[in-house]
Amino acid sequence: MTLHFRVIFNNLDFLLEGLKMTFYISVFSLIIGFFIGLVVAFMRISKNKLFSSIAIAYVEFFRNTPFLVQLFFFYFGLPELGISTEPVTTAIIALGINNAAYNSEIIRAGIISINKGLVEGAESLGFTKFQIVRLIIIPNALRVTFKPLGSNFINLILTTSVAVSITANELMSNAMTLSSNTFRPFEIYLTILVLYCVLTFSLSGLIHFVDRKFISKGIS
Amino acid sequence: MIQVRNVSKSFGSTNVLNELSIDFDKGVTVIMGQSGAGKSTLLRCINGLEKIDGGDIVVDGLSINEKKNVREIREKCSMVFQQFNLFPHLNVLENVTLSPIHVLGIEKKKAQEKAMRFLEMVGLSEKIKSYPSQLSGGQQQRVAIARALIMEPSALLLDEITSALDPEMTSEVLEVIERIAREGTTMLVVTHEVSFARRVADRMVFLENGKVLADQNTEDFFSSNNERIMRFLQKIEFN
Amino acid sequence: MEQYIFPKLTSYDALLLLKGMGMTITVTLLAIAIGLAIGFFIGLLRSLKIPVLSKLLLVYIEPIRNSPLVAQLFFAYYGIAMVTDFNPSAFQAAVWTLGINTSAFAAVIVDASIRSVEKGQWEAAYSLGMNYWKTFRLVIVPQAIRVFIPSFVGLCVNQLQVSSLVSLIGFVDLTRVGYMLTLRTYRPFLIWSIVAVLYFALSFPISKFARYAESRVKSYGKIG
Repeated sequence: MTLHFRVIFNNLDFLLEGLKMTFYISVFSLIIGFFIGLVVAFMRISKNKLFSSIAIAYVEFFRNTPFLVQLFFFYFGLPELGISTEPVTTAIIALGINNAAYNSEIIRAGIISINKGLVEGAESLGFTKFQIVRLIIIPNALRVTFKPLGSNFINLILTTSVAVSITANELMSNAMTLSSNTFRPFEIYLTILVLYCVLTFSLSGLIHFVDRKFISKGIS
Repeated sequence: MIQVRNVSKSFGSTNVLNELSIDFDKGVTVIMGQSGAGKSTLLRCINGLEKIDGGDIVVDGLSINEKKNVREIREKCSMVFQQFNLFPHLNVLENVTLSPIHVLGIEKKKAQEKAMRFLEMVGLSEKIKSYPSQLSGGQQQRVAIARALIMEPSALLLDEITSALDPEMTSEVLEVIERIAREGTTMLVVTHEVSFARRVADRMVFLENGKVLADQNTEDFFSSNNERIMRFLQKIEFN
Repeated sequence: MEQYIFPKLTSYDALLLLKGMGMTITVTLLAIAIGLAIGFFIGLLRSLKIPVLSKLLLVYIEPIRNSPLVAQLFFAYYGIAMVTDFNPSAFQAAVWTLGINTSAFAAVIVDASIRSVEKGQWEAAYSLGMNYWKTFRLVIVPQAIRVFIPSFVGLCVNQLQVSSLVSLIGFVDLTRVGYMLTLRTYRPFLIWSIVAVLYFALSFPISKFARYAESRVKSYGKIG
C-alpha cells in the first residue's frame, strides 16, 4: 500500500475553509445553545407546572432522539410546513437546540448550587444587588458549570461533523467532497481524525487552564 | 516469630522507617510513639501492604522479599484497621466467613459455625444478618476483629483501631481485645490508649524517627526516666 | 391543473420501519457487546496504574473519544478498504467502528468504577490472605458495579442515538429506512416525526432506568 499525503497539501485551502466553517457553526450554535439552555433551566425549576413540564419534555425529547434525525427533521421535514433554511443555518439551529437540552441540566445544577444562605449572607454584609450577582452568584455558578459546559462544547464541535449529511461545507463535508474527487479516503479521513483530535485536545487543555487559573482557584 | 531486620521505608523524601530492627515473639506488644514515628508503617510493612525499600522482614521463616511469600504472610498476620474496612456489600456473617471460605477453602457450613464462635467472642452473635452500615463504629470494629481472628493468625496486627471511635465505643472494643489477649493471642498493637497498654501489654516498644528508642517490659517502660518517653506519656495523659 | 396526490404510507412501509428498528437494535447491541469486552479489559488494565502502560492505553482511549464518530465510520468503511485487501461490508464496518468507539468510553467508566472503591477494601482483603482476583471478584466488583451500571446504561443510550450515523455509510438501519421512505412518499415531516418517536420509544425507558439506577447509588451513600 502506498500513501499519498500530497493530496492533503494540495487541497489544504479547501480543508481549512471547512475548518473555518466548523468554527463558525460551532460558535453560533454555542451561543444559541447557551441561551436556550438558560431559559429551559429556569423553566425547569419554575414553580409553574406548565413551564416545568415543557422544559422536561424538551430535555427528554432532544436527549432521547438521534441528532441526525433531528437534523433531517429540520432540513427535510420543516420545508413541508413552508419553513426552509440553508444547510449551514439549519445545522446551527439544530445543533443549538440539541445542545441546549444538555446545557440546561448543567445550568440547573449551577442555579441550585447557589443557596439562599449565600445570598442572605452577602445581603447582610451590605452588598448591593449588582455586587451580589457579580461577586457571589456568577463566580459560584461558574464553578459548578464551567467544566461540564466546556465538555458539552467539545461534544458540540464533534457533532458538527454530522452536518456532512446535509453538506454544510464544514470540515467533514469538505473532506467527503475531497475524498470522492480524489479517491484518497484513507489519507483524507485519517488527516481529518487527527485534525479533530488536535482541535478538541487543545480546547480541553484551554478549558482546564482557564478553570484552574480563574474559576476554581483556591478550591481543591 | 516476626523478625524485622534493618528495614527502611520512605515516602518521597521522608524516611519513615530508618534501618529499623526488632523481633516480635509471643504475647502482646504495644507500640507507641509520636505521630509520624513509623508505627503504622511498620505494621503495614509486616503485612506487605507497603513494600519495604531495604532490609528484610521474616515471618515464621518466610521472607517478605520473596514475592510468593507475601500472601502466606498475610494469612499468618491478620490486620485490623483504623477505618474498619468492612465489606459494605456483605452482612456480618458473610464478612467474617469470606476469607475462610475463599482463602482457607473451608466448607461454608463449617465456616459459619466457626464464625459464630468468634462473633460470640466479640459479643455480636445477635447481629449476624446486619450490614455494616446498620452497625455503630464500635460494633463494626468488633466485626473486623472477628474477621481477622477467624483466620487463626500467628499474630494479630492492630493499627490504631480505636482512633476513629468515641470514648464509649473505644472501651467496648478494648474490652474485647483484653479478653482475646488473656487467651494468649499474639498481638502487635499500635495505640495511644495508655491505661489499656498498662493492662494488656507484656512488652512496650517506643518508636522515634523510624527507629526503636525503647524496648522494655511494661512496668519498666511506664516508670522510665527517659526524658522523651516521659514527655510523650505526659502529653498523651494530658489529652 | 393536475392535482398532485402524495403517496400514502402503506403497511409495507410500517414493516420496513420495524425492520429498520430491528437493525438499529442489532447494531447497537453488538457494538455494546464488543465495546464492553474491550472496554472492560482496557479499563481494568488502566485501574492497575502501571506507569508506562497506563499512558499507552490513553493513546487508545483519548483519540477515539475526541474525534467524531462520522469520521471514524468513513475512515473504517471507505478508507481502510482503499489501502488494504480488507473490504468490510457496511454492517461489519458499522458494528466494529461503533463497538470500538463504545470501548473507549466503556474503558473510562470501568476504570472509574474500580477506583471508586476505597483503597482500604483492597487492603482489608489482602490482609486476610486473598489474592488479586479473589479480591477483585468478591470484594471490588460487587461494590464497583453500583457505580458502573448507571454510567454504562447512560453510555448505551448515547450509543443507541449515535448508531443512527451508520446510515451515512449506507447501512439500512431505522434512520436509513426513514430516508428511503421520504424519497418514496415525499412526506418528510411525517416520516421524520415517526422515526424520532420510534427512537424515543427505544431510548426513553433505558435512560429512565439509568436515572433510577443513579438515584439508587446516591441513596446507597458513602461506603464505609
